[in-house]
Amino acid sequence: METTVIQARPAVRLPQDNFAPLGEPILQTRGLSLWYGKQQALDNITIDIPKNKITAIIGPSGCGKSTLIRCFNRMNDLIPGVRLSGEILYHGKNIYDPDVDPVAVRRRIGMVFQKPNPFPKSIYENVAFGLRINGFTGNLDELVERALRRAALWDEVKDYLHKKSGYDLSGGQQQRLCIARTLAIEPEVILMDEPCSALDPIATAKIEDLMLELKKDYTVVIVTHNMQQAARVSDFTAFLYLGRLIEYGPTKKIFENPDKKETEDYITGKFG
Amino acid sequence: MSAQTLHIERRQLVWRKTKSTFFGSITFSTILISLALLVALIVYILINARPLMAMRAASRAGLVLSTMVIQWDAKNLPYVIITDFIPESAAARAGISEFDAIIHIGPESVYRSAQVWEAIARLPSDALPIGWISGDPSKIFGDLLPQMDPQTGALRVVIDYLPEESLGFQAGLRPGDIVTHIEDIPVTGARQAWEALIVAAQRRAQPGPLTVQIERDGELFTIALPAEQTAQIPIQRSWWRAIWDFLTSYDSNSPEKAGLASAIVGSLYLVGLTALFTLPLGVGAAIYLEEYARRNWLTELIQLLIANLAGVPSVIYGIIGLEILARALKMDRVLITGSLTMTLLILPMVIIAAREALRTIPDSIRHAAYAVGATRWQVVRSHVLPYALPGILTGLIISLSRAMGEAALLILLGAFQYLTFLPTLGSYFTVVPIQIFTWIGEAKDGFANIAAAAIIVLLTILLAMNALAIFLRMKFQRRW
Repeated sequence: METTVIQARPAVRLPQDNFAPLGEPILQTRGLSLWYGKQQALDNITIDIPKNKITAIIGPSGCGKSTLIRCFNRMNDLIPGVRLSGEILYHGKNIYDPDVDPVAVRRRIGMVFQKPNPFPKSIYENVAFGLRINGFTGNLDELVERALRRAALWDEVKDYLHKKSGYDLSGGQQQRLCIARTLAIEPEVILMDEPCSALDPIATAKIEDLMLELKKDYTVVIVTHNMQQAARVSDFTAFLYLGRLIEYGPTKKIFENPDKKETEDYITGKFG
Repeated sequence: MSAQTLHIERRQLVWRKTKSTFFGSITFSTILISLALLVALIVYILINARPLMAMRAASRAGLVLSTMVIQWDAKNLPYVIITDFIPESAAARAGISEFDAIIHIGPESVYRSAQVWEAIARLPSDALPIGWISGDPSKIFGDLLPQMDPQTGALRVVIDYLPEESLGFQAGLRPGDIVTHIEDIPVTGARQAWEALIVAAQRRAQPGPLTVQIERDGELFTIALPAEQTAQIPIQRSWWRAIWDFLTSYDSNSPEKAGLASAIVGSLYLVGLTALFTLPLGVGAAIYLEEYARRNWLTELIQLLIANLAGVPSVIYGIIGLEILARALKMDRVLITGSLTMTLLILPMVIIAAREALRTIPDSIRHAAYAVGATRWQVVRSHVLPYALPGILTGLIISLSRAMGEAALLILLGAFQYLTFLPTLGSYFTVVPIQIFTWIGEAKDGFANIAAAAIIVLLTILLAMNALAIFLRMKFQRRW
């Protein structure tokens, strides 16, 4: 299949309305609506994801936050019966244009899932798979080591890269292995769909440290239902409710001085 | 919590326990009974297969036997003859030739060939003491001529010509003698005289001379005729040899010589070819349906059809194979036609098994692969297919076991052949189940026994296939 290279376009300047300076946006949605069959899951969402920042998407269960994040790398394409309108601009190019190959999108926009899902293969193979299929040349061992180091997993697994299966690791290690797998192919954006929901507090803390580390080189979008986590790690927070974007702004503002009543009710735990 | 609710809960607990004990015991006893029946069946088959060693030993020693009957006073009197003369065999060296009747094994009279095999199996040493009467009456009586008694009008036989080396001459018979009785059996015809010898000899407790009454020049004489000859025939009894012979010889009219070679080769060819056709087709179809096809009415219909096809009786597939492949496409009833028809039979089962195996791979694995930029084919080839392979192989091998045991379909396709060569792709063929079916239908003594032996061979092959399935599964499963 011919892959389309997504050309970087000059980013559109954002209107400086109620949210604070965003910096360079890397992902922008424009009037994004999505239906699962007849059921509408997202309603006219317009949001800009800034580069090299952590953006958290919060909201009660079923509000569409996972759906939204899965739109960013076209994972929703895999679900039958999904219909979508609006645009998602990545470097200004709509990734849902007919000439865009979803595989190319996923190479640039990686994803870490809610439940750790390593392949039932060796740790090495888990990381090397993405490199192999994307035709990386060069020293595979080196690239695998680098990815594992960046995911803060290298020291724990370096002695049994080939001996242990991804399934032999603990939950937190598995999740970091999944992050390493994502990092190996050097994406620009990393989407994390509740990456710590299946982990204990210590493993969660490790992943959060890792996110802050990754922010330097990558753009991170994280879906979480853990508001403390959003407050701890994210620079920007979007609050979704019933498929609509209620409020979006710097995390500090959202948590301390939200504009909307729903946001305040949710933050303060009145519902959700 | 009040005492009342506690009481109810306790009662419910008791009921639950009773229920589970009840159904548990039913399940347990059903399994136990089936297991016991299975063991009993296998023991029965093993007992039936036991004479195989003696049969093979007898046939190697040149004793290829048939049970014949003499019709005597409206009764059928059985006796055993040598049906197949094997030159250079131990029996031939002892002087036994074709059509000779075996009367005694040691001190026992034998009436059926099975008795000979039992005697061989029980033999304390490797020498078989055998007593036989030549199947050529002229070697005993020379030429007998039927005559009418001029006074009484009764039938009688006269020795017309008697060579000097014949047993009769050496015992004192001369040409012109009228043979009236053998022991107390009146002699009325030339052939009947020989039959009277057999019957009289069988009555004796052990080999020995028979009294023959003759009329010579109007006077009656009694002559002791040593018609039954005896010898010790060396017998090599070996189960290994017997099994090897059984597996490597072709079908025959004599159960002692009949073997499974063409049937086994036919079965292996058939199953191998069927696997070759089924694996790519079945796995390909399953991958398409599970990983590629959209869920719409067409795929729903295809799924329904596949599920229904898996339930169609094999005879129907046999008719399809016969009419379309063998006749309309002029492929004839050869091995490749058989395996293509067999492919039609097991393909639905393989597709269903493969789909089940593919379905057990969690979507999270697929998503993980997609998320690092894998194409659909890369996801299938690198992850879904390898992880599902143990399940697919298990399904395939179980389906092939069914193909291995299938007879009805192949009978229609004319695998009902008497083969004395190893089948090839383009030749007529036979398979083990049909060979068993053929042998069980034979009336001759011994075919039931080799059919039992063939059943054990078939069971062993099936067991080996299933063991292979389990082995492959475990080997692949270790990678998880």
